Amino acid sequence: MKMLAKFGDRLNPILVKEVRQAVRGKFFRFSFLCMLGMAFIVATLLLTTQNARSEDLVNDSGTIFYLGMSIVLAAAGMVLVPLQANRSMASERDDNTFDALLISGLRPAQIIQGKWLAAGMLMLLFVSTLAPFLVVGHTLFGLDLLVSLMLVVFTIAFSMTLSLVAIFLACSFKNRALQSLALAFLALVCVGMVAWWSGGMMVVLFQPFVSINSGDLLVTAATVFIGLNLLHLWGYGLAIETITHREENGLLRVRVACLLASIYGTGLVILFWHLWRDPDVVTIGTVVNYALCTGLNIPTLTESDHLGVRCRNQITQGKWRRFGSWLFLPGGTTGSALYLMQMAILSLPLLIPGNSWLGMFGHSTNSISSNGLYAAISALVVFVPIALFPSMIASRASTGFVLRSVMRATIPATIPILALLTGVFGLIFGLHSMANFESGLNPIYVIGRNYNRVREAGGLIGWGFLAALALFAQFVFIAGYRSRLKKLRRQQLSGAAPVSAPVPPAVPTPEPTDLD
Amino acid sequence: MTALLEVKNLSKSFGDLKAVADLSFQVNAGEIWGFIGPNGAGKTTTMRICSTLDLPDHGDVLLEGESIIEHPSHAHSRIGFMPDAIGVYADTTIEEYLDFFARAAKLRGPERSARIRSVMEFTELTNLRDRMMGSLSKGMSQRLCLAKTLLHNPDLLILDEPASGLDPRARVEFRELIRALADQGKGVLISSHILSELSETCDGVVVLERGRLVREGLVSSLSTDLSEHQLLFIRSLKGEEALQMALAESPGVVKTRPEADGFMVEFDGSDEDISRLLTFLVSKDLQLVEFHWHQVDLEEMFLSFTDGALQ
Repeated sequence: MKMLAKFGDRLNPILVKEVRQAVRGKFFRFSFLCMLGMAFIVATLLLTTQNARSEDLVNDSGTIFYLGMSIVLAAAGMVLVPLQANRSMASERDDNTFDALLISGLRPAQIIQGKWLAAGMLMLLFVSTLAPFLVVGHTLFGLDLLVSLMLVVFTIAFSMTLSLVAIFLACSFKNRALQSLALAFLALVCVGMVAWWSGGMMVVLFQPFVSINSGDLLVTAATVFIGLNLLHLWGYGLAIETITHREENGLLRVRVACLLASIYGTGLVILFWHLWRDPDVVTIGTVVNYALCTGLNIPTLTESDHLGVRCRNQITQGKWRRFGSWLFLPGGTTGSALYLMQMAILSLPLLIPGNSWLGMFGHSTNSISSNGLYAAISALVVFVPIALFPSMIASRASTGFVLRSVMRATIPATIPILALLTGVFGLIFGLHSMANFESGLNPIYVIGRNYNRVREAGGLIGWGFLAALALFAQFVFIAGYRSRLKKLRRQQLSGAAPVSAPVPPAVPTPEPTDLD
Repeated sequence: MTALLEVKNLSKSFGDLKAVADLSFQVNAGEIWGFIGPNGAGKTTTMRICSTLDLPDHGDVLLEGESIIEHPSHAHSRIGFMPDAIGVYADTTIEEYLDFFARAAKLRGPERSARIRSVMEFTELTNLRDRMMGSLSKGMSQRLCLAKTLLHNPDLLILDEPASGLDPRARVEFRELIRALADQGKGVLISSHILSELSETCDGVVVLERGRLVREGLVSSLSTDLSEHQLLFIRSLKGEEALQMALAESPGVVKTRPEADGFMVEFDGSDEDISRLLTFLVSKDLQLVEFHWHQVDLEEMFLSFTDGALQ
């Protein structure tokens, strides 16, 4: 019991509050009953019509049964749970409780974590509602357990992603009208996700279209999970930033996520090249990574430069440590430096021999690789100035909120234009005949050709290994950085000044007044 | 001695509106300071900055010498802020609400339970512990908000209009609660439009207008600022004319002005001189019915120090 009480004490206070409130709330009761009702109706319909089916259909009835249940689960997980998460965060502002949260002693990260975990708890409750129906599907119709579990886990993961987006939207818009607009947009996205997800499940469940074995499925799942994990880290960092005190380093997590994403993307490109020796993959992968990296870095590039000056002064220990830390400190200038570093990392695959400058001069490679190289380099040349120029304007201390927002919007808006430009470059430098339809610059061709290769078990296992490595590196990196910040905090609390920190001018002792 | 709270040259603008301009004052431990000013004077903005909810454009706020702008998270455990409008979680009981904030303040196990019990007793909410927040009256909500503010035993209390909406009995009780807290050594910064409330509670006041500091100091010293002479109120049954003539003959009387059937007299002299004045007026057979010192209250000071301009 003591252990249980201790565990209860350690729980995130927001999680405890949210679960208490949610279980009492009308929204949860209503949606829970609706879920049960829908699951019951779907199950009854499928079971009662089973005898009327032909033999072939009876064999597929487990899949159909499962699909029906999964759509109900997806509707709950991708619509109800994110909307509940959004309302839960937005109501803190509407009900005037947000300020109390901010000064309650909870860190902004704890607030977001609590809201997010509460969404996860809600999702688990919904899954537990459907669990008996899924067990029936498995025992009566012999549905593959691994596939069923995998799809449930994926539904939960997507639900959590959407909930995070929902929380971020609620944090970002203080104005009620904008919040309603964001909510409507979110609902649209959620419904779209359900439709897409249901369609996706059909592909997996109706195996004649895609033959994928359990091992492949596991590896694919692991890889997607790592990608989702990085996206989560990025979105989570961004959500926290919206409610963090401006003097603190709110975008630190976003910066770490961006760096990890660039390492992850580079690793994937190198792995693909290693498996298939195809320069197209390197080119397309690199250009796509440039675009993704630019998009992910928008918040850090356009952050106001004067933020966290004190924070910067505090992390100044040691020459190399100082340099390493500097990249993760607030401000658009440091954001730009980190961005350039990431772009350099993403350009590493261009050094692969089959795709190198040597290839351009016709040595040991074909013309596609040199076209690709031109495209990738031209993309790099154009992406970087377009990303950095708005950031220079946005990160000035004098730039207002509106201009900063416009500059933030400018960067993603230029990405499709730049993609077109790189295509034009490619055409100029090589796609001058129909024979080059099978070019690395033709995304339809590349996706189509690589799709079949992805299904090869060896490739997927390698991909998964790399993904696991990226995850491990992420944990090591975060743990290292966290311990460094903790050490600094301890020093701060004990009053020891950082070794090379500039010494602040002495605060003059106030003159004694009649109050003293 | 380092002040518990020191506001130094604080400025904050919202667009063209200068909400707070170069404001400085101090609050010591065990003192209650009133924060007064017309609507839009910058009181709430200053209080929000002092509780780390907003950032100043210039200046700093020190809590026992440490900047809360630089270290907001350190300040959270030492400051209790009670906003003018309390937010409620309608589906939550009073005890659950306090339990949530106690958890947030990192109170664990028996310590948490004891602390919740203690603040509920202090604010007389024990009998309402299972009541849903949505069903609380304004007064009860204010008590709950105070209970929440006290949970982590802060050194400094910042209370924004804490008595608004309370009935007279609740106000008296609230005043006593605040006094009791100051007696425990806590510093209190309290804003209110009910100046009679503040005058009975506060040791000192900060008067703001259009974001600027108009006056600050102990209440006693401010009343001296308002008039350098002693103020006496005198009423007679013989009529105003006779009383005025007698006062004109009296030494030490600097100025007189009629007020509420009598005269407010600015008197320059010692207590013995006042005694002699009373003897003189009695000897004139003026049938005196009132003769007392007049203590300048906060309302008078406020009206005198400010011109009522809004921004």
